[in-house]
Amino acid sequence: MIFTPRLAVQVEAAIAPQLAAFARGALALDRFQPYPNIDRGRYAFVDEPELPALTDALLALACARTELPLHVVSTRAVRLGPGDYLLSHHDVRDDVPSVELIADLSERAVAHAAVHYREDGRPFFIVRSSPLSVAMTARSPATAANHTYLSKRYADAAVLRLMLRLR
Amino acid sequence: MFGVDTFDAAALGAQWRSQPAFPHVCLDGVFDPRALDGVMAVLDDEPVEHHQSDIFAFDATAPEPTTAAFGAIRDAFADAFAPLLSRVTARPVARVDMRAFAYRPGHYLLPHTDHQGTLGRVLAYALYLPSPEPPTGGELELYQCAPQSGGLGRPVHSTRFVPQPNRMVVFAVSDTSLHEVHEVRAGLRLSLAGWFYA
Repeated sequence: MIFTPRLAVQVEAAIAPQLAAFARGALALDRFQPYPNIDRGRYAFVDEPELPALTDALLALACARTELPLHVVSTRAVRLGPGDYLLSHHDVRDDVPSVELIADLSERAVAHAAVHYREDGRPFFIVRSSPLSVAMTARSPATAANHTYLSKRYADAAVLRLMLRLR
Repeated sequence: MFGVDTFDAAALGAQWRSQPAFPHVCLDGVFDPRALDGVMAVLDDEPVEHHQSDIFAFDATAPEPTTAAFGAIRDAFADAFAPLLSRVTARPVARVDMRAFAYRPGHYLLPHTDHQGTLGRVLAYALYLPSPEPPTGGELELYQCAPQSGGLGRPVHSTRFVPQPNRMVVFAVSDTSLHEVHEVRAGLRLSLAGWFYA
């Protein structure tokens, strides 16, 4: 394992624009819930959204990249606007290794919007705002991620991420 | 240097005990106005670094004053306010630490409590300074939360303080003293801040 590079990659233009647009439309009809605990995050979310075509495409991408028979453990759509964030101590940590996918479904890139991954507190990967990209990250029980604060100076900022946990 | 004699400990104590969120007080006119120019000149000599994490982005001086003059301001502040705040809060305090903070556009401090069990923080304070570019944003907000699983809970009440020059806000540090500094959208927010210890 010491010679195997850790999976931490962001693939640009990995989602078909029509698929992303369909997913945005479907999510717009879903009831996003506001997350209540501001000491951990300010954002809205939908757990297990019904996006079978997109989910299947993302899973296929991950299996091809890792050459592993992965399956989906959980999905969550996360929406952030100006002033929103998710802190690293809010991140759900798995007891076993997993692969996390982030599909960027945002309509436009947002300045300084990113997801930061750390291992035992040490940064190792930054997922930048890039619509239609897919980021894949190998997670261990010591991995934590945060979604960076979106500045209120960008009043139109709108980030939409589909998060998949795979094993 | 400080106008501590102008403050009524009994009135402040009543204010302290009456808060719907965690205990806090607000004092205006902390510095003798004649001393402020000298204080600002001292702070201008302190090295400043940028600090950033998932919870904050700001510029600040070192955890301990670098210059003797800044150390003297900290010590004078402790001598002036530790006795008063001990009476107001009924929490004996003596020692204080002090850093200068500069929040520029885009800077913020997200909700947190300041509470770390081993550090002995009793009271937190923020003392706002005059700015050449008065800020838009940068308010301090203190939250009262309804308990919920997985965190401190959603805010049900809050008190917001504008960073008015020569104003100080002091609050009790606990595992529920949730507060944040709102993003500065323009201008420059300058302050001295830190904690009182027993």
